[in-house]
Amino acid sequence: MQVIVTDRAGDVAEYSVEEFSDLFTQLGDEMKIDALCGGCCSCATCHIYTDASDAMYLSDCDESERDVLDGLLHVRDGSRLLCQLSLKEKMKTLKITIAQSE
Amino acid sequence: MNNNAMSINDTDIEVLIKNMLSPECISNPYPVYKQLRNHAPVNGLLDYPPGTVPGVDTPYPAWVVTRYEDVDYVLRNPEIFSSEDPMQANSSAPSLMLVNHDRPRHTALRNLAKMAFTPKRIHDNIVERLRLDVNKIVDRSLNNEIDFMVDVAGVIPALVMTYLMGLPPEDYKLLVRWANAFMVSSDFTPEERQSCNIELFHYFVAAVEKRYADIEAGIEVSDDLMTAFINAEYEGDTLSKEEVVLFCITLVVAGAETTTYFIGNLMGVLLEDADWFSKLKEDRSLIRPFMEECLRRDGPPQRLFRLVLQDCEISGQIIKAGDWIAFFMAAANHDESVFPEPEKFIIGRKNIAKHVTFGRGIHHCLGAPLARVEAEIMLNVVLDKCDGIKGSISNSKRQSGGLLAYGFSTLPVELVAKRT
Repeated sequence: MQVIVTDRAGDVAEYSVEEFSDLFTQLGDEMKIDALCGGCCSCATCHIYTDASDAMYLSDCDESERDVLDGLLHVRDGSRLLCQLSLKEKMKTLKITIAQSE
Repeated sequence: MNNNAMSINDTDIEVLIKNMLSPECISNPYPVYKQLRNHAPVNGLLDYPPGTVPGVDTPYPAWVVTRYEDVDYVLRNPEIFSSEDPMQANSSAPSLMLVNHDRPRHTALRNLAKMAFTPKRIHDNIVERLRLDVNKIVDRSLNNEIDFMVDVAGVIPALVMTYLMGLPPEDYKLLVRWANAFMVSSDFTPEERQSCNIELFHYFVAAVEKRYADIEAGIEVSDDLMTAFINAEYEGDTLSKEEVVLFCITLVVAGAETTTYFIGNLMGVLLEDADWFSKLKEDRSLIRPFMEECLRRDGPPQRLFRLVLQDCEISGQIIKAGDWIAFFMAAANHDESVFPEPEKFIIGRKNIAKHVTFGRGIHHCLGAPLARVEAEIMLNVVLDKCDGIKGSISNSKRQSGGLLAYGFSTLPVELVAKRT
């Protein structure tokens, strides 16, 4: 899957990954996200925006993810935690934007 | 990782564990961690959690966990490894909020803390004010030999605590002393440590009482973190007065000393290799990776404790419910299987985000962004105002009072003013 990522500086980069967890690790290593809690749905440092049109392909937002998102200042439609994301249906290309740091 | 590697025999390892609290090991624990990583967890460390008083409280023997994989496992499984601290609970120390709570209360408290401890508050209450104060602190230190730990690193985090909680700025000295006594990593007599715990508690009881009374009397109070804790509400839940006091204490003891050591350790790296100063001065985008590598290689918090709730296995070693473990984030950060050449300071390591200095999982450090902001402001101000740093790392001394933190007790430097 190709993921086109717009980072906090507005730079765009393309990643080819098998799973979102690979992208989570890679963005953490590049210090584009803090990934402070290591992906356990707690710190919200992997907050991203997805396009509404892609929602049908993405896993649903469960209660624990919703709880974390609710506490954020910059939450909006399409807000997700990258660490909790998986695909419901196959897709070739996904566009995401890393939300600004809280 | 080689589970079978036995560089030393069982008797030697007992001696090694026993000597972990020696001043030599505390001031440079990494060679000991290296030997311990060759073993599955070993039982028998008699060490003191924050707030407890050596010479008064009796430590429980703890399993020592040092490999990256094992430390990560402990951090990610709070249902097996409880943060409840029976030793601290039985001591004279005030108990810590969040740090010593398990789910579900931890989740409720974290949500309340988040309502108060917002990034916007950190930014609005701190950044500009701190920049101005750090400029003053550095200005008065220029071209004099100073002890960086006393004159700069020790001041910044405690000052930030006074801003955050609306305390008189001059009280920062009290906060430094109390935090140092609580964290069991400086030289205090048992009596001094106990009286510091009591003073710290009463200081915040009085400050919080006054704030509640002012609010009740309709007096306008400052819009700071203490007020935010008092007003925090999440799904109908609020904090009790005692919990507000304990939250304030938690912030001071968790944030003051560790960040002081972090700021000092950054300066230590600049002294170790003078090239860093010019590299960072020329390219400020290197500051963040520089800080992260310092957090990995020289991260101040060394270890935490957990109470084992279920029988489990760590690196093949059976650990029983009810046992007590000490897991060393600092040893994990030096695990060669994850960070090759761990003793070297290499910025831009591809997996640097994997360091566990701020923990991981539900107990990740809420103050991590704050520590980074403080350190970044310090570095930028020093780089702006100075042409270089004079001093030798050989004149410095690492603290040797307790195994909780790795950092300098004294770090003599001269900040050389920029020629105008």
